[in-house]
Amino acid sequence: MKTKTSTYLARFFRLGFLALALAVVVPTADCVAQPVLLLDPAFQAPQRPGVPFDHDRHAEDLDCTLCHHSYENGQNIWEHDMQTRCSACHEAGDRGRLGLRQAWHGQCVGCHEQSPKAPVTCGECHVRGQERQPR
Amino acid sequence: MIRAVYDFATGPMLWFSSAFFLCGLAYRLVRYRVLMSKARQGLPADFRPGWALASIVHFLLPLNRTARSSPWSTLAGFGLHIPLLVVGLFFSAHVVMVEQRFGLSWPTIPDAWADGLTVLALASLAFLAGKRLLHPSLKGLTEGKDLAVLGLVALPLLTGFAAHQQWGESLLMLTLHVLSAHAVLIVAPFTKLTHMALFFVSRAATGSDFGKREVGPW
Repeated sequence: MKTKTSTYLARFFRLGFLALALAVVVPTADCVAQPVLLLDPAFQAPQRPGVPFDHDRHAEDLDCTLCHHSYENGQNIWEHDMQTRCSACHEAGDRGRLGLRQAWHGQCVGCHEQSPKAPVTCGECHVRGQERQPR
Repeated sequence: MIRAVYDFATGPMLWFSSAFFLCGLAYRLVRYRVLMSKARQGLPADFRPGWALASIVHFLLPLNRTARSSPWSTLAGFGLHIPLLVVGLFFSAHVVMVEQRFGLSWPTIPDAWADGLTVLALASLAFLAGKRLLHPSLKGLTEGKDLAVLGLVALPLLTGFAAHQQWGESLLMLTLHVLSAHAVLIVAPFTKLTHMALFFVSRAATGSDFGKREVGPW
């Protein structure tokens, strides 16, 4: 009898822990974005596959506004609920300094070139075999 | 380690190679001029610019006797040079590199075209090397350096193609691509690759001479 009770208790605690773990992990897993595929739909007939991007890995060390921005009078006024799609401002057809392709590359390569372990070649980010649909 | 080589090859070495390439070719052009002046000492100055220009045009297009007598070699010549120029200047990765560095940009060709043109260039190089080795009247004139220079030109094409196909490690392949392109730039002024500059002056001189003799420059 004593053994049965302890077995039930053990099961109860195990289930309790499992429930607790699920309660904590599932919503977190939902927030912790898995690497997303960056491929702006504004690009017409993109030549390279999109870039798998681990947002959390970047957010660990970097300030959000290093990438996210919306400028007003020279000030970055970006806040969390603001439109953050690059093509909202940068046009795919623009080949000037603020063109969409250059804006994307500038955001990534500019930093990566300063970091000896970050990817810098085309193929390290635009990996063949990645799906071409944005997520 | 590879990253350090890549950074050097795409940084300081780029300026060195470009400067060496341009100064080397300028030196060869000046030297050509000096030697030509010496050779023509005492002769009347009768250079014929019209004939010179016409000759250059007829050899930049396949409108000459050599094109008619050696159509396959001519085809291989164009099959090599057109991809070199078109892919070199209009391949997306090359344009993006300039775009990122200097803020300059221009239209690009589809990546699939770049693949096809690179294969065409490599096939043309193989044909030209094969002809040098096998053609009865050409093989006696062929030296090791003639084949070496064809091989050297093939290197950036092979590594560039491999990098684009993502064969092997991307950083390593791209580093090899950039280094082999540097090698081409550095040896260009002192090998038969000098023709990228000297073609114009030697063809001009030949065209002018043939014009004087009224045999037609092409």
